[in-house]
Formats: sequence, structure tokens, C-alpha cells
Amino acid sequence: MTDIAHRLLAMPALATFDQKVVDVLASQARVVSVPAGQRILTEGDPADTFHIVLSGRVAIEINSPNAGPIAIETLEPGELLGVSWMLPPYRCTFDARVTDAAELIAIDAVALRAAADADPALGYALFKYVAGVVRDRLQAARVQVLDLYRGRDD
Amino acid sequence: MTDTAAAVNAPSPMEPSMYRVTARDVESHDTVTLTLAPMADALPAPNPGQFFMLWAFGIGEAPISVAGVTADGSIVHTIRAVGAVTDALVALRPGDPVGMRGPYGTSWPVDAAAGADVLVVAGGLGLAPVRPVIDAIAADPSRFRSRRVLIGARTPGALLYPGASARWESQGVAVQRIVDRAGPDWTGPVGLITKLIEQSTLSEHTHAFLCGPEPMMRFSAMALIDQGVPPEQIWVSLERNMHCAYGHCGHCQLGSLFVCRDGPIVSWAAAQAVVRIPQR
Ligand SMILES: Cc1cc2nc3c(=O)[nH]c(=O)nc-3n(C[C@H](O)[C@H](O)[C@H](O)COP(=O)(O)OP(=O)(O)OC[C@H]3O[C@@H](n4cnc5c(N)ncnc54)[C@H](O)[C@@H]3O)c2cc1C
Ligand code: FES
Repeated sequence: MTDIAHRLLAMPALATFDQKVVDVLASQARVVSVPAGQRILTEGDPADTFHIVLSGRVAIEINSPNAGPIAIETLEPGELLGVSWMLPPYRCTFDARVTDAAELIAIDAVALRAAADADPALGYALFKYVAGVVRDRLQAARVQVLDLYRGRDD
Repeated sequence: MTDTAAAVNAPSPMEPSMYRVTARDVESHDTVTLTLAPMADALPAPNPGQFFMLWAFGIGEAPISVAGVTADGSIVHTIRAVGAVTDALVALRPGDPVGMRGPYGTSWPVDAAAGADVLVVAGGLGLAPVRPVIDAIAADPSRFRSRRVLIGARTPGALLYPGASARWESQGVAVQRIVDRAGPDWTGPVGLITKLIEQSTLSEHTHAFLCGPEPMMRFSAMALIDQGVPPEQIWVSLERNMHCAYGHCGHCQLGSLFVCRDGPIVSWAAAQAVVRIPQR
């Protein structure tokens, strides 16, 4: 098993993955180091790479002309950055910026999509992984919409 | 004196004692921390988690949790302006009088957590009622196997007691803060406080103290249970409208609980069946 495959399997979200799935993921992956402040995804760009955070922190941001970039969520070690690579139109829906120097596993989404199309079992395993992340983020977004800590004058 | 005469002369339990504001610290645009000292006899010292009824003269009363007790026995309260009574309390200035009765209610079972892993989870203004727990842990950290505090706030500017986190950390308490949204100046985590819970190492040896808006406590309790923390070791602070505050009028009833008497601090094992009952 490669070093990247070991590191992928050490993540709780991937620990139950079949060895074969991890090996395919690892075969399309490389480790990148990104300094704090650097943007790694831009809204509207093709979603041809996705990342898994190994260390550091990445902020998902939405830019507004009045308020500038607003961080709506940060991703910590073990978390998946990018879900748009899974479904057409394969386009990033937000900006992502490293806020704390990060080491990331960058995975070639174009190659992985082709592998998943050719092997439905692989595709299903990846789909369940991404769907779980989407479910958790949807729940988090719903709670954030409640704005629970808001005061009368906010 | 006969029993009847004694009863007639006894002070009404609704009668407030007079206190005076000795310090006022502005926490944010709608929240202040007041230090209150007795003008005559002091009320009994509160335990962490208990609350007093604070009387804004000419307006009314509100239950407010104890956020601390100073070395000279003054009571510290953090108050957010949300309506008539709290507007008046937040507007008080040093030297102004305020009526107080109490302390009331149950307290955080800090001693029962000795030797165990302690986790405090506070959202928004919920940091105020658990602050005495954190101060107690920080004052004697070796009593606990591990000590962790997770704090959630709307924005970085809304985080209460900014200076206290560094002090707690220097006393051996790990503090993590997360905000709902932030600009580029904030390099810490952004998202729900449950994200920090999921990243913590927890077990059946964890004792958790939760305080914040009720949905935040519900989701936090579920995340803790998912990680093996028993519901009997998860403690929450409940809030319901109150009138008498000593278990007499039934105003604060929540299922079988009178929040003023059986709470505000209750275990999740007791709270989970009743927290979804709407406020009357
Ligand atoms: C045990 C206990 C401890 C509390 N501790 C604190 C504290 O440490 N600091 C603090 O600022 N407040 C605390 N509160 C809440 C405080 O008592 C209320 O905000 C206050 O009673 C509101 O009175 P009011 O006249 O200012 O506003 P009201 O006119 O009565 O209410 C104004 C608005 O605030 C809402 N509101 C009323 N009570 C609450 C509540 N409990 N929680 C959320 N929204 C409410 C009402 O629904 C209404 O929309 C505590 C409440 C309880 C039961
Ligand atoms: S407020 Fe009267 S019984 Fe609780």
C-alpha cells in the first residue's frame, strides 16, 4: 500500500472503505502543501480536482461586494474539500482559501470520474462518501440559517 | 411570638434585597457584565449554575444566571438586552441600585466530574452560566483527567470574555472557539459547535456541561451520545419564563419539571423528553 493510501485509510470517514477503493483514490492523488492565505478554488472554475485536508485549515468563502470574503465554514483535518466534481456541470460553487498552512491530498477528479463510470461498485462507494458529506453540510447550513445566537438588535 | 405572628412578620420570599452596581463591562452592542455588591445583608453565596431574580425598579424581574462571584462576594451577571426588563438592567450604571432575590435552582455537578474528562460546550450568551464551571476547573485543574472548553459565537466580535480564554489556557484548560461566520481577519474554525465536538476525543469517562440556545444543546447532546458519552453525564441549563422562581406558581413548568426548582441544570437523561415542549 502506498503512503497516501495509508493516510487515507487513517481518516475516520474513509476507514470503512474497501482497500480497492482506497487504492484507486490513492492512484490519482498527490500531497500538496499550501501556505496560509492562498486561494485553492475559485467559484465558477471547473471542478477537476478535489482535496482532503491532512493538516491545517481551509475556509469555504463566498465573496460579496460589500462585505468582502465571508467564511461560511472551515474544513479541518480529515474533511473533504469539494463535492461539485461528482455531478454535472462539474463546476466549483464557492471559493476556498487556506487560513492555516495546510497539507492536502489533491485528487484528479476527471480520472476518478472515468474510473467510477467504468466500475459501478467504485462509483457507489464514492457516491456514498460524498452524499454523507453533503448531508452533514446541509444539516449544518440549516442550523446556521436559524442564526441561533442572534440577538434582538443584530 | 406565636407561629402565626412569626409568619406574618417573615419577609415575603418575593421581596428583593438591595444591591448596587459596582462595575459595568461592555461585552458587545447589546450585552454587559455587571458586578453587584450588597447594600446591606448579602444573600447566600450561589453555586455554579444557580440564578438570581434581578429586579429593575418600576419595570419588572428577570432570572439571570450567576456568571461569577468575586473575591469579596460580589455577584457577577452577564445580561443581554432583549426586552423591557433586560433593557433596563443593561442600562444600569455603577452606583445604581438593583433588587435581587435568590440564589435559586440546581447547580452544575462539578465535583462529580473529579477524576474524569471534563468538556464544557457553550454557545453565545450560554458562556455566562458555565463560566463558574470553567473558573472552578481552571482553579484546580489537577482534579480532572482532562479539561476542554468549546465556545461558539455568531461572529468573532460576539465572543464573550475575550481575555478569559487565554487565562484559562494558561491554567491548563484547552479552549477552542468557533464562529458562525467570519471575515478574512479570523483564522480560527467557522461552522457549528458540533464540528468541534466531533473532533474531540470523548468517551464514557467524559462529563459534559452544555449551555446555549436549546437547539444547539440538543444537537450537541446528540453528537456527544454518538461518541459514547452517557446521557446521565451530559448536563444542560434550561430556560423558561419564570415568576416566583421557588417552585410555587408553576409558571416555569416543563413536563414534570419546574425549571426554577428542578432546574435550570438538569441531566440530558431528564431533559431530552421535555426540551421540545414549547414555552408557555
Ligand atoms: C434560569 C435562567 C437563567 C437566565 N440567565 C440569563 C443570563 O445570565 N443572562 C441573560 O441575559 N438572560 C438570561 N436569561 C434570560 C432572561 O431571563 C430573559 O431574557 C428575560 O427574562 C427577558 O425579559 P425582558 O422583560 O427583558 O424581555 P421580554 O419582553 O420578556 O422578552 C423579550 C423577547 O425575548 C424573548 N425571551 C424571553 N425570555 C427569553 C429567554 N429565556 N431566552 C431567550 N429569549 C427569551 C421573548 O420571547 C421575547 O421575544 C435567563 C433565563 C432563565 C430562565
Ligand atoms: S417560576 Fe414559579 S414555579 Fe417556577
